[in-house]
Amino acid sequence: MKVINVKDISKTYQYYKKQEGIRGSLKNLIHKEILSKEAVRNLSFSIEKGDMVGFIGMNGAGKTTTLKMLSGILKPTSGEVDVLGYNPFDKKNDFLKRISMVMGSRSQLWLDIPAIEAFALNKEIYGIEEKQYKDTLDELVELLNVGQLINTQVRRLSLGERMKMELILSLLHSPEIIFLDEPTIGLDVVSQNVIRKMLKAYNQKHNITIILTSHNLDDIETVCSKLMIIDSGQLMFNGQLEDFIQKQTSTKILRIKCSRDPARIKAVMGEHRVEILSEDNERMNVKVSKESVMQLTNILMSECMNDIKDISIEEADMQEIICNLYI
Amino acid sequence: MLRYFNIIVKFLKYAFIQALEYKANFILGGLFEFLWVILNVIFFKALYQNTTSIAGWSVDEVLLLVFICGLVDSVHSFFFASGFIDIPNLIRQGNLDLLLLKPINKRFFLSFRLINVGQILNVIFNVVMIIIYTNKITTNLSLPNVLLFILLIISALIIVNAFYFSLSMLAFWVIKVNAIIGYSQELFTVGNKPINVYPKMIQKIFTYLIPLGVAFSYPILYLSHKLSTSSLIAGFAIAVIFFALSHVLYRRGIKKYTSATS
Amino acid sequence: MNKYLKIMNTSLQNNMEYRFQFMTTIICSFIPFAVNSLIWLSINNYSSDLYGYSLNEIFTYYFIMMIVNNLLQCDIAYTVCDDIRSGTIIPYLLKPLNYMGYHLFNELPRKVVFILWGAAPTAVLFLFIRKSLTLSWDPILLVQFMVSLIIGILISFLLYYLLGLLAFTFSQVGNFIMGYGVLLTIISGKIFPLTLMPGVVRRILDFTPFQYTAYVPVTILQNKYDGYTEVFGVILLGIVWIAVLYGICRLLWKNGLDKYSAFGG
Repeated sequence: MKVINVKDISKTYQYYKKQEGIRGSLKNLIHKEILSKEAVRNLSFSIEKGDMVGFIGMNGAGKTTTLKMLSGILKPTSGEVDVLGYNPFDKKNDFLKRISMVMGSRSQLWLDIPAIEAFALNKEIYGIEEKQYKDTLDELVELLNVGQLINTQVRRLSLGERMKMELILSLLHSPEIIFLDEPTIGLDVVSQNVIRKMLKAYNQKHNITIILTSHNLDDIETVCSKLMIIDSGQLMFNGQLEDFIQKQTSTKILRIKCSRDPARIKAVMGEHRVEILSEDNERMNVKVSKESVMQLTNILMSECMNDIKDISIEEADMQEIICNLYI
Repeated sequence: MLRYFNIIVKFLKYAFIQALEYKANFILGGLFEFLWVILNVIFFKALYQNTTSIAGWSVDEVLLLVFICGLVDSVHSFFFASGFIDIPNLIRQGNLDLLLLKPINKRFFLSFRLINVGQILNVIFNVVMIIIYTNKITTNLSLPNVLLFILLIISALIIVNAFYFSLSMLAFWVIKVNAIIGYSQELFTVGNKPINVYPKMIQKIFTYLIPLGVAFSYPILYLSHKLSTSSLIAGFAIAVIFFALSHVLYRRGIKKYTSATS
Repeated sequence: MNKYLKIMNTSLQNNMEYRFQFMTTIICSFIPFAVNSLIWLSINNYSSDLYGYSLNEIFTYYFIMMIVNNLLQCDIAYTVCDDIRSGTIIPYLLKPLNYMGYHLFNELPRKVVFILWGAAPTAVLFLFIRKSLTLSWDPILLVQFMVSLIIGILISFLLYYLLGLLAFTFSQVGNFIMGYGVLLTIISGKIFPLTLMPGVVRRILDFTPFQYTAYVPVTILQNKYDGYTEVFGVILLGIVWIAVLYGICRLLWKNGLDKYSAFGG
């Protein structure tokens, strides 16, 4: 079932060109030059219920703008947005109760109050039933392992703990769709992990649709099954994450741990078309084409057995793939 | 709706928790407004040493004016002032976005968000003084009289609320709103004097354009039987219209905000 | 001394940038002048004898007060307070610079700018209302007035600087400063002449420094003091107060620094 349907949306920002100095300011008074920037251009896509979609792109590519149009914060300059059958921009209360948005760089929590109080306020705002509130709260607290922290002043919590509270806050009213804009930004590795696990588990249990933007590709890889790449306001890719990785790369990565002198290994590889990605101490990462990786591995194993301590064949790095896209 | 009442209770609760954190701020919080009331009392008491009437107002009437202003000021500061002052910040830092997604009346949320409990003493003080001075001016008040008097004070609150809210709305268009808000305080020093002190032109401005005269002078004029019925009705109408105008400004502001931000 | 000249120069340039703010403040200061005058004008059965001022003298009082207030007002309390509480004062402690001197020389150009931007609008206002004013252009009065203005500038500065320094001891100085500002308007004579204060209060206020920030300069220019001897006495007391306030500031500064370094910022 499609929960989000977007047809040909565009978003153009208009701004005034600011002139320098006094002359410029005077000129501005008489005639303001209007410039426009197209943040999003003719975007079309749809998202099914329960999808976990990763949305990536460079800064300023239009990710956050798109997310804001889906949640109803912004109105598209043209095109139609349909989320759960509503026009998000109308911000009908019934619609707002079924969605949620979390922005990693903004907080909805009051610093001097324990998070539990903010939860209680949300309970009132969203009109959540007492029993449902308790059950959801217990479930989320357990999933995120925050226990007693909900009674601590938010000011005293670490960034990771605060983000967990933000997530609880945003899921208390059991939304069907949640938009997450850079949720793991600035968080330590452990917290990032916990949050990712929690999103997956929650999706499994409740079939919640998750749309997530992130610069941290681990987020996308771990949590999302679908991927959308946006560049300069246009959709470059929209499909399964696996497909993307498969299609985008014709290469695999060979990670070799050498026992001593890699000279012989290098000699062997020199005879094949490989690219050495990194080399230090006793480790070497090598990019090899998919067709020849098995053959090369065979040769390395037979001819350099004594020089290799460990060897593994891996998918190309997501980071690298994305970077290559933009080159 | 009960829901909105519960939410205000929650806001009150948070304000209390914060007040307990910053106790000194809580106690001294209302000091400034209290001193202003005292200042005006001293001023007028000094002037009335050698006269019984200024612009047709007796000393008790003028003092009642001072306390009504004090009450409106302290109630406004209690519920709304901090919230309104924060609006330019919300806009600038982009935190308004998430607020817009809450399934609740946004103006309500913006208005009651930050309650300042330190003002409660001021509120109580001014209420007591109003009761005392109302009795000094007129002793036989029928129930409808009292109700209309209270209604006039409520409309004063509405006018002041609309006034400050409109100023914060300017933040959607102007960056340096705080400076504008600062200068607009001067209007209050005009509005909180007996309206009859001013030449007719100024009186008109402070009745129809910036209805602070309606807000503060009308309750006393009503008690002293100096307010015609038509003026009374006009006063209420002006309060409603002024509030409606502030709402139009609000809608425009939100519209601009949601079509522009990136 | 050079560095202080430099500070003044920079301050002058900075303040010239804010011409819109200065203009608006000055125009806004016309409002209390007008409002207060109108209130006095509405007094029923006005008696110059009872009040000690004729109506025109009252208008003149508020007119001069407006100018004096614009010149003497000082915003440094908050700056000093913030510097201390946030620790931004520390670089100043390390510079071969007197912190108080820095602020004083920073403030003085503001007065110059006020005069620059305020002269024209004030002159225009004056032209409109000069028939209702009772200003004297007696050169001796003017000299006395100038002296009292200088005393007023210094006392006003010292009082606010002192308040700022209280931040070393109290965390809630901000509220104090606001409350003080309100209190000052009454006890300095800004809202109404101190002659209207009840006898006891008046006598006490006569010995305080607050009157120098408003009442004294205006009263000198209006020649309301009892001849040169009284003026001389008032000015002398003013100078004494400058010394006393300066001493208190030094003390607070020293004590504050000791406490400050104990906490490590």
